[in-house]
Amino acid sequence: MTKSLGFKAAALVLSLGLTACGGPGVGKLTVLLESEDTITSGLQAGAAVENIKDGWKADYSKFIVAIGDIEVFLSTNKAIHTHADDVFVVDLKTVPASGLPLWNLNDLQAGSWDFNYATPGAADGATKHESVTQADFDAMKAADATYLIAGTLTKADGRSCPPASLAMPGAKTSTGMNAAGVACYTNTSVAFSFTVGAETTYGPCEVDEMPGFSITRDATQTVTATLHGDHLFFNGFPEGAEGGVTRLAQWLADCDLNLDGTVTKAELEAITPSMLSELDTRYQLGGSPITPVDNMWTYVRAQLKTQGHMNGEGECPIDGTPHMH
Amino acid sequence: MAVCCTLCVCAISAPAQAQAPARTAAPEVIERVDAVYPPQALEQRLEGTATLKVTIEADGRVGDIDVVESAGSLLDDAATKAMRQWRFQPATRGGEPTAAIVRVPFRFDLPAVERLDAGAPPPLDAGVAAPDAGGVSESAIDVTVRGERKLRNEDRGSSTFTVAKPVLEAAPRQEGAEVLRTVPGLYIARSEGLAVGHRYMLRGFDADHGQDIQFTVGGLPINQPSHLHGQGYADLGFLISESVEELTALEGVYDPRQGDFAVAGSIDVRLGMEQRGWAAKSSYGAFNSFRQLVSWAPEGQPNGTFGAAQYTRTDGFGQNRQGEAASAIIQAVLGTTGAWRHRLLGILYGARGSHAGVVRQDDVAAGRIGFYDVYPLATAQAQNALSGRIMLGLFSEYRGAEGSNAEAGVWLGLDDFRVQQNFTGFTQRSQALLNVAGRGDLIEQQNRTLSLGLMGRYRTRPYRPASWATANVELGLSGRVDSIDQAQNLLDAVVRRQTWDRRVDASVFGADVGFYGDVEWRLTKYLNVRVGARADVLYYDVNDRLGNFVPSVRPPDTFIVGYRRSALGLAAGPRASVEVKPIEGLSLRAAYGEGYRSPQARILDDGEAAPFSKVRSADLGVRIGRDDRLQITASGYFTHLSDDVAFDAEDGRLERIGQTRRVGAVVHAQTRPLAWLVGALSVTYVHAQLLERPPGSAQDPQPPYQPGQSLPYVPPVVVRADLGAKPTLVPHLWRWDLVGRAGVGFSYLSPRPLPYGAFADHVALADASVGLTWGPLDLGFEVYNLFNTRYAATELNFPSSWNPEGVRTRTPERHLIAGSPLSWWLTLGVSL
Amino acid sequence: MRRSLFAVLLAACVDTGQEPVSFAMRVAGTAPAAPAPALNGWEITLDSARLAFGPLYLCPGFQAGSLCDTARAEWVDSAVVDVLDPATYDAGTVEGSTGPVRSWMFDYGVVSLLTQQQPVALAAAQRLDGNSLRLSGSARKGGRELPFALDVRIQQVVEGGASIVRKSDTDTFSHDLAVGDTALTVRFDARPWLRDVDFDALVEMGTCASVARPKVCAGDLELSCSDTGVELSQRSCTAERLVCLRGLGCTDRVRFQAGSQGDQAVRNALTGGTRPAFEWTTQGDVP
Repeated sequence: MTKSLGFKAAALVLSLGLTACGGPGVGKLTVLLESEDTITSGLQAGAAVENIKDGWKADYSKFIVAIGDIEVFLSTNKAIHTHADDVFVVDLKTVPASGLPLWNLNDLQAGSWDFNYATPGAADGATKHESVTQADFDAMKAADATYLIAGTLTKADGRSCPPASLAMPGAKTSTGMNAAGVACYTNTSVAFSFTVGAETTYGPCEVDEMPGFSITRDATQTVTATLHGDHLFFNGFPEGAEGGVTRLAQWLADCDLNLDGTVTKAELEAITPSMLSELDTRYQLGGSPITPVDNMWTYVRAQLKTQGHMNGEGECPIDGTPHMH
Repeated sequence: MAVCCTLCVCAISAPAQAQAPARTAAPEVIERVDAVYPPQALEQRLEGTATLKVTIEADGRVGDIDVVESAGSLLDDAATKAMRQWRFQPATRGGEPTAAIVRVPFRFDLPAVERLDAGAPPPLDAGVAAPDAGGVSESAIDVTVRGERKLRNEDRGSSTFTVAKPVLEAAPRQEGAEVLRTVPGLYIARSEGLAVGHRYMLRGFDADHGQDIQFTVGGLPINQPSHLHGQGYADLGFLISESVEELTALEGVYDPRQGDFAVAGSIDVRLGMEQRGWAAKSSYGAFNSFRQLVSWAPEGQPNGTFGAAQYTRTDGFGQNRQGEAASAIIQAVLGTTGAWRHRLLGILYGARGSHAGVVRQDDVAAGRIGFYDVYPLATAQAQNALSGRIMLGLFSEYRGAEGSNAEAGVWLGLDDFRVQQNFTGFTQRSQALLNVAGRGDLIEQQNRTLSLGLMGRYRTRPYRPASWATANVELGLSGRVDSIDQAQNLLDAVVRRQTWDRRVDASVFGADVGFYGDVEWRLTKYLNVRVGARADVLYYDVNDRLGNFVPSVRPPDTFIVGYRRSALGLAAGPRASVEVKPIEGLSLRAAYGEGYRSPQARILDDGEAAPFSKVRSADLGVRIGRDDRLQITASGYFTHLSDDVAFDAEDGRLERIGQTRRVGAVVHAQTRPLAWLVGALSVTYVHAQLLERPPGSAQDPQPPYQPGQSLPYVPPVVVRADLGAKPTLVPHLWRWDLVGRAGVGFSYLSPRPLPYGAFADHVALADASVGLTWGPLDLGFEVYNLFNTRYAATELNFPSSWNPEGVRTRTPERHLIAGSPLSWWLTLGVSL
Repeated sequence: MRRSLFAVLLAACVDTGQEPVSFAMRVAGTAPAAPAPALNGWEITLDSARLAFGPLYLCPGFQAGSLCDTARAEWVDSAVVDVLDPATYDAGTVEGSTGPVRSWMFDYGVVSLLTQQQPVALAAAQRLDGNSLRLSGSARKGGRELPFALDVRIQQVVEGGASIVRKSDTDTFSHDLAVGDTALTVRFDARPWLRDVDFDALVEMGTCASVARPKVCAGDLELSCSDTGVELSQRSCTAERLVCLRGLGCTDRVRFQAGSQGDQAVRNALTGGTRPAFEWTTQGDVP
């Protein structure tokens, strides 16, 4: 009888063990919006790699973006995907360092997921975030813009050297010429304010060469969509590790054609890259996501399209994944 | 593990009985050695009496031995081997020592539990003694060898293969791990020098360095989880072929004892040395190669008790292939008669070797580089590896009443590994240093693992609900913890191997706790059913010190680089097998099981439920054969993997490729038509398919895919043949027999697909050996790659850029690592 | 390497999902049907346009560059393209494997190697004396004609080791490489390349009084001026079959220097401007 009991007890343990295992389960994803320090603190002039090398300091007063359209795909089965369509218009200047939770996706199967998001135009159903004024929101919607970026370049001995054929110095007197022989004018503070359409999809994103994020059973995972604020000043369109990029801002100061201390969309549209002597051989347009780069407004749009990242420095290919909804 | 089928007890039923004429005295036994019940005979349930006619020389030494009543070659051999070690007080005639003949019947009895219808043990044969014509007295000594029941039945499904010593030593082996080639469907190749583990392929799996095969040696687990050089990295370079007594390969996942990495199957290496006493072997061979072996196997102790040490060095068959290695294995079996038996095992290994790395096939074809050469660049010539390992184990077995039994063991391992190798030439740029690139992709991987493990199991005594049915339940557990430190850097070979980029700097603490249960039903003598299940809980704590790395071109950190995370997951699955034996010598078998492969820890995210690769495998087959004269196994198999991986040479890591399926068949024949002749042949076919489009990535969002396309690296056909002969050429030449030896081994791999639509060439290799043994002296000559075939030990297809002055190529190109051309070894051995 | 018949038969049973492909790399130009427009009403007629092209990589991903470490197909050579000649001619062979290609990247005969500090001129660029493009022609406006010559070297300055010109997101490019592909023709059109060249900046209608320079152009007249702005003499450049260029006076033609506006305009046009056409030829296509 002892034998029988021992056998049955062991068999019971075995059968219990067999039934103890369940499926993978589901979890949640919260997507936060995060802004790089260059947006909140600006870019300093200096010689360090992250500084603006030509002496300008850049500060943003607004860095409003329309962002959303989160789409995630189960890595092992791309047919399983879900999305959060919400598009928010948010000023990245006010995003807390801990990130701004804006999107939630529930009931994601446990496992690895690919992460994609977008910076679409604001006209179609975007939601105003409290960080954005109604006026700015309306301006974004009216222009179906992706970004409303305002800021100032400052440099103690700053000057603008607009293309001679387009320059409207008025009564201002040239204070010399730049290396290309273009007349320059004192301009120690150059403001800019762009309401830009630069619709872009980002993804699938990778961090440390590992794609996306993972969902665990009954847990909430977080992912951040991070926007960088220094690409506007890159001297090209590098990919991946951003290569040997240099940050320069003189080109933007030179776009102040009328030398009123403010660069406008109209001024940028009037300037072709070839007219801007500052965009010399240090610059390279070959990787621009928009071609042809027929004027500096296009150039700005192209640079802004490269700003999307994930979890800080994670890389996100742009406009590579057609949305499935 | 196979340890539970290796033990046996011998007893002499009666002392030498002398019926001598006047003034003659029969020889008397002064040292007897127990015969070992061959595990293969136990497995095949062979029993019977092998009666030997033995000449006892005038000096008391055992002379000629003739088998006058055969019990099959396995048992005959076991009896003969034991007999050879006996020593006698010689017979005397008129007070003078004289030769005599004795008849010694060795009775091999299976344990009762192995025979459902077992009755009382048969009576012992009585010896018959009669003087022979030459006036030499003949007396009889009865010996009964009681086969000890195996602690558990390892035989699951039709794809369980046990390869015994005669087959293992039939063909020549350059190194210990090559004994694995006798396993049906397995191919091994050494391509990264003497200090890096082999690459393995097993019935449809490119197991890389071991990710799909669970290896154990003497109960010690060899695979290393989350090893930087490859998940489940298993370096068997420490093996000494002379110390390998038997291999048991379970292809598929059908035994609940199979744990992590048992995807294609598991292979257990049982250690032991039949030849007792001291032995030394010196070998010299092509390419200034040298090998020295010293072994010691104390007389009168079980085969499992031995010590062996080996040193090997070579200049290598081509440029940059020199290497040195040393290993020592010591094992002691304690307590051979009581309920408890203990086994202590220690393994020590160290190796360092250069290696030539890859060469591009187009460079070879264009004559830009020789097939056996290394690129004439510092970054290529600097390739080398270093490996060191120590493992210690203590295993105890308990034999209880009525067949209940238990095992328990603890083991400890410390492994150090470092490789510096360059697969891709000049394609890397530094992420840590601004504008630093093109210094050569000499990647250094360093991995150090400290492991501690335990195992235990208990098997109940039989439960007999009916006279025709018995059942045993077995519950077991295995556990291990691993503390792993790993780093990967890019080195500049030109300037004292300066580090010019850091890629990995991590510590991993992992734990694996596995439980299993198994019920074995024997329903009449015709049907055997086993049902079980296994569950493993795996835990990881990862300190990724370069996690969230900020490239040098980005603004300064707003955080401290690093990413620490933990994960825990459960992998569970059933295992079942059925064996039907309608008639003696015919066994029909079916099996199904689900296993897993653990993930590389560094790919895990925080809280992730360790995404295991789940494998489902099934076998259906037949085994025919009553004894070892001829055994044929034919089996069809199916394997489905939920989330397979394939080696990506560019990143030097395994990349996910999605669901895969393997359907195939294996035919294995093993024969021993004569006591001195043994042969084995296996043919394995597999159709290995990718069942879905591989996951897209930013680099390749729509990887090309044809439904049912073949898996890369998997050869559809693998053939292996071993043939060995060991005849006595001149009996009793002076004091000893002159025994000849000849062996041939042949391996064939069909062309195998490579990534990106390329094919690797087939491989056909033949090895041969001849030798002579005369008493304590042994002389051997071995030739490897007999036909001097130019073949690649490894072929890969990936982009590389090996011309630092040329335009970078980015399309994949076939790369190969040369296999050895014809080589030879001359060996002189002395045993005492 | 020789294979046994058995081995070949075995290989034939295995579908690897991809197959090697190899097809002709062809290059071609575009015959200018009419003078090309440039800034401020100038019209350009090209006499010669020779472009160093290559290497070219066809990539599986939507973005090339660093996401194209493994290309689907490549042509790692270079060729000089007569951009004014619409005839196609073979420049070598593209090697790769079947599958989708969604982006491309290439250089203009000068490549950046990870292993070299400075970009390297390939054979085609060497034939152009180390340049990527050698142009000559004339610009006309209102009866004035400015012959010009331009050498441009386009080399990587931002990302060492990367190709300079990459498919943008607004470029349309998609093809599935198949065994039946017989040729890829990359066709260049030089007409847009000088569109942003400011020829007005090269000429002037000045006087010695208005321009403080020893030589001042008044249309095609070269005026020699004193330091005090007095015209000393006149010279008709036209009479000598020369042109008068701002700051230079009479000269035979405009020679755009590296870093000049013309050089910059052409460089930008070649890297960030209009893209060449990619034309596929597959088996069965009518040549």
